[in-house]
Amino acid sequence: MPDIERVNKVKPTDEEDEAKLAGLIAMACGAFGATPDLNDPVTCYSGVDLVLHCCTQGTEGWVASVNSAFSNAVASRGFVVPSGTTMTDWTCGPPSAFPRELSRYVVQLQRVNQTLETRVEKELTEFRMYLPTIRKLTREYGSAASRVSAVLTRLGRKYDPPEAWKIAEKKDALPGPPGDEYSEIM
Amino acid sequence: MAATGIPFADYANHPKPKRLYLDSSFVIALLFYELNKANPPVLRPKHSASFNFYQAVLSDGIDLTGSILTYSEVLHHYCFVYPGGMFDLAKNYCAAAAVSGANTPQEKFKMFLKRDQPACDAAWQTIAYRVAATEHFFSTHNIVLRSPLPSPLLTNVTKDVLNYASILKDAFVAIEATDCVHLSLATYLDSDAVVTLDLGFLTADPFKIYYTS
Repeated sequence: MPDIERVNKVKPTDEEDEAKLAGLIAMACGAFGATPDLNDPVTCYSGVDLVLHCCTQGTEGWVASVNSAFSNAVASRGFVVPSGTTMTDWTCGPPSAFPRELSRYVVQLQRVNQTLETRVEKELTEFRMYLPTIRKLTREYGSAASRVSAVLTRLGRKYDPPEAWKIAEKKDALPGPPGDEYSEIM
Repeated sequence: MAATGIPFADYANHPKPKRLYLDSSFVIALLFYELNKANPPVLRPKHSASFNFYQAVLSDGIDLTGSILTYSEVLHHYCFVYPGGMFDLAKNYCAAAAVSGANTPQEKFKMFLKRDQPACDAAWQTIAYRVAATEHFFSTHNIVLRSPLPSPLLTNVTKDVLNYASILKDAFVAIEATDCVHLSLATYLDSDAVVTLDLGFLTADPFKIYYTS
């Protein structure tokens, strides 16, 4: 099982893969009576892993694995249990139909799983080389943000429209009618 | 055909507009009133009439809108033309420095800026509060400044506004070019009427113009 934290950082971008993956997971998880969130890469990935786990162990293995540890693992992988369904109902679903029906998808699922793992590793590798730069930029941004904040505070103190209007009322009220040279505004 | 002209005094006798476009001449009069309301002898009837009209439309909940052109013209008048503005400061400079060859206020200001930029900047700083004061004035008087926005049918809205203004100028020669832009903007901002103190607007068919003479 790949690290969920890492998977979470990489959302599939290939639309074809994503659509294929979504279809497979929806079909597989339907047998569980579970509802995966197909927009959530973590849940999708967990769905693949879960289905692989069940399919590769066969009927007997799957039934045998219905224990509390497995149930907790299923629940922790982001599936939404339909209301009114107890954990016992869920884990004791249709054991005979599930693996046989899905066994033909195992290879496809494994391929998708591998693709995802490769993508995670690739993204992480590429990301690491940028990390020092990102840290440096973050430090600079923090420093610049505080400087900008100080400048804005000073500007705000100077640029105060209500205060400016008070000054205007005080300085620009005319003592008497203006002369002819101001006919444009009179 | 002329515009449908409605004097301020007849405002109550006509159907109310939903959105009223404010020409800069009206806003300048309103600003003048607000600055000098404590000294009534300074005010002319048009200033008081503008303020009374403003109060009437405000109490009727009419959407008061202006454009960037309204704002820039008001700002220019307050900062340059209004007593104590840059034109006065430039005139004082030219008199003190015995500058010749500049006759109009605009020429004197240009001369001021060219000959002594630090002094010109310093003079500007003494009245720079007028910019923030203008902003405060628009804000506290519920005058919303809007710009026509592009839409699928108006891919180049600026060009369309100017094209319409040029058509208006061509059709109604008595209206000044910038006033044609105001009328075009009022149309594109979906205003049903325009308020102005400039009587040239009254020649523009088919606009509804609120005015005072």
